[in-house]
Amino acid sequence: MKISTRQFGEVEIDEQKIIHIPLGIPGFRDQKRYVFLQKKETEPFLLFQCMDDPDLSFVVLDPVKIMPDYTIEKKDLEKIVAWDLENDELSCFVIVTIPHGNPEAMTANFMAPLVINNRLKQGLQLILQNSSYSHKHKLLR
Amino acid sequence: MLVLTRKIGESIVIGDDIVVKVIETGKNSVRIGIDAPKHITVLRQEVYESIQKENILSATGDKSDIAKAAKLFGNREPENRE
Repeated sequence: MKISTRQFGEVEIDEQKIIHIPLGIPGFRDQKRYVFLQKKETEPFLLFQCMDDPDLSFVVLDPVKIMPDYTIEKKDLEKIVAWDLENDELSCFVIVTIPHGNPEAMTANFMAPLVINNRLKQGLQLILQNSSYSHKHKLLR
Repeated sequence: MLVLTRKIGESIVIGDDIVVKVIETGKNSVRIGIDAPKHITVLRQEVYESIQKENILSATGDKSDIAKAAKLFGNREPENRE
């Protein structure tokens, strides 16, 4: 199917790849369906595009590219989701903020990663409130 | 706002399944215990607000900035590996 996006215009997407975020994310609680878009010109970043709002998308990054030992603990997830954490494969992304006209100052939010259950195609933004991770971690020194 | 007085060890119940208990009080602080179902997120307000604010900031990215950022990021990587 085709969806409209502000960044890349009309894009063909595979319906099987739609990710459901049942609780939305803070600031955007009503938007619940997203899809990952990958474009050569924005690699290694991906775009986490809202299905229902062409103007809403987030730049995301595999956190391991910045912090090779970044991990999410099972105990942080089992309190809030009923996923089969023993067997399900999860993906994790950090949301990147790129200040307008000043990409050098880009930061990523390591305190609140997006966690996706690949089997259920469901996800959430996990807030690690007792961690030492920053929500504004600089990507360039 | 509803204001209630509670002693240490006493609780209030919100709805059917949220219990807020006063654990300990100090000079300028109160330690609170919360029992809530899994689907209810309990966060310190300032943490929630900082994440919400960051999400709103990150949602306004523009395509040319993303491409520039990607380039900057790509150029940075080799230095980091050494």
